Amino acid sequence: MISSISSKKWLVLFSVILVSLTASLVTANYFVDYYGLFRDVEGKKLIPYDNFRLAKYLYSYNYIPVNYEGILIGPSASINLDTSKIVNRNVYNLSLDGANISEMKLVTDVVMSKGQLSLVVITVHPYVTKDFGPKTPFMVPREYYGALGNIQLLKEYLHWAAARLDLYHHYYKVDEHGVYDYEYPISVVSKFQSNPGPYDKGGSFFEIDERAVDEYRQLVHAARSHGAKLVGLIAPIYSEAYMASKDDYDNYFKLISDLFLPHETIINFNLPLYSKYTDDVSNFQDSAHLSRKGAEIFSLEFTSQIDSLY
Amino acid sequence: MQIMYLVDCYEGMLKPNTLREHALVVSFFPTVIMGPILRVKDVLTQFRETVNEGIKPEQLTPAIALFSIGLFKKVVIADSFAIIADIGYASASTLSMVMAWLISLSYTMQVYFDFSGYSDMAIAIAMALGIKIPINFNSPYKSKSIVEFWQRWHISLSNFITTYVYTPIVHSFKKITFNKVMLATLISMIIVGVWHGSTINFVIFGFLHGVGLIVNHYWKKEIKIKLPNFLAWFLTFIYLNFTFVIFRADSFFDAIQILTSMFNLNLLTYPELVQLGANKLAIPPMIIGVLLIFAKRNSNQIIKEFNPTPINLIGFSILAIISMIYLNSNFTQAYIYNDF
Repeated sequence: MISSISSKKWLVLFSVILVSLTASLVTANYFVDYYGLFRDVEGKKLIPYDNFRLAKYLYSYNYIPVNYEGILIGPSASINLDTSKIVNRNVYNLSLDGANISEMKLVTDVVMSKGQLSLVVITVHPYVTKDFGPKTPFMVPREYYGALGNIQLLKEYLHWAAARLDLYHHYYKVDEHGVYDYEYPISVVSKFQSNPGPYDKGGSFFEIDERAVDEYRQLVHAARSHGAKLVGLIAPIYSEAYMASKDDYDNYFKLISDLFLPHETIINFNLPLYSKYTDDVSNFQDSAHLSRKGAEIFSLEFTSQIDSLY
Repeated sequence: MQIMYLVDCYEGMLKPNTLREHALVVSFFPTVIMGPILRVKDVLTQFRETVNEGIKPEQLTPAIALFSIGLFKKVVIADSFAIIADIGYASASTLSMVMAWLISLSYTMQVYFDFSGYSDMAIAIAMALGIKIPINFNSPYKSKSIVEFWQRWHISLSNFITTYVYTPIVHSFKKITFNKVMLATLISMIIVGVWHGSTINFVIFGFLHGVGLIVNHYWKKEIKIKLPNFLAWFLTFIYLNFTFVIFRADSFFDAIQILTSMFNLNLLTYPELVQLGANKLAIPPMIIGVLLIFAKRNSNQIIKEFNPTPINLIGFSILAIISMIYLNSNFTQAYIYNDF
């Protein structure tokens, strides 16, 4: 028989337990500071393990402004370029899987509002202007306080533990330098590399939302007004895929490149200069995503071009 | 509430209130958004009796316990089921059989935990203020017939429809026969469907429940064969699940696609596996939800027998803290019945 306690005592104890547990949880997460939001993060290296979009969004509040002078923003087409190899600037690859221009602008605005950037590299790709508005519910200010204790944080801890136990499996692989490699399952990559194509020819792939182009324009203006050096990056496309829709791609690249000023650099990895790399299917996982080998090659090209600007 | 009040006054069952009292009753915040649907005479007397009585610890402890249960049901269980349900209903045209069953069952669970969780919280807040309001759910998924289901599901709506829609329709017939009573049942249930929304899906939802009730009554009256308990429960639950597909789907066409997919005999696809894998943390709350459906005691029964002890103090504190962690997460959803 379990003895009863008085209602008053029950209420007091309930309140005490609730407040104590909440305080303990918040304090523990504050000190762990998984997203580098609350404590000093200068010189630290943070790597997300589960929700990369959310992690990069939250890094943009403090971790990136404190530790980096520049950012590369774009969709998954530029996600596994290794910006850590750039010598003259400390650049963070803030590319987001599946990002459109609204999400790219969202994170860039946060970084620029929290710190001073001297370099902003913006990826030029039809995917980012196909649609408009945030695509996931994660990148919202309430997540800032979510970092003091929520289910996503629990997932990150579990994935962190799984990585330590070598149970980690994700589309992303993060190497020891914190570089993201966006990797499809081997079977998917092998299938593409052994039999590339068919490719998107025109159609919805090249559809443009005018609001998205306008937002791209606003992003370019905002970065320029912020005082950052602006660079456009036309990410590498597997040459067969590029040639299959060359006119569509070139028209698109022209449309977006015109948003940059003449003195601003546009790096175009689809020029004949790079055809020895873009012709090699082993450099790609599919027509738009670099394989690890391809990422290493283009990362070197990318970093040398950025370093040459300074 | 307003309809019931006007009808009760018209019928002479209730003396019209003063404006002040009426304003107090209709603005009683715990129930004003999503019910339970109250009869003015049931709460007005309590308001008069509880004036200046204050909040007592004896009424606050069970109220907090019930609120913790309700919050847990909503933000932990219902919202976890919602993750899986939303994935599937957003891609109705490409579902495998396994996924179609999974998402339909997930929504059937979601809608119960969402609304009963809210009802628990509304009852708890009223209880804390010293006002007893009637229960709205009584383990509806344990029902062994559609008739029993409507005696256990959204009880305040069932009572309202019975008293203010079904009974007047029956009374409007000059001669009451079984067939006419069944017609009144069908009309009432279609009105229940329309009460949820004006789309064809809700009309069909109400119609199917009306048909279910008629079949139950006909079976009881004419066939008179008692089905084994498990079979009766199983048939009832599966029928409810089908009707909730129509209730939830974005269009009638989507509903048909999902119902068709449920009999397609194909296993999970790779993208579905990836989606489920990405949401694997929803699985433990879903398992808890399924266990709660079949638990011996529901929240009303737990609170009826509530006695403050150290054990339930720890239990309810844990429920509350887990709910708070979920509340601070980004997948909390609006209440389903907030739209109705």
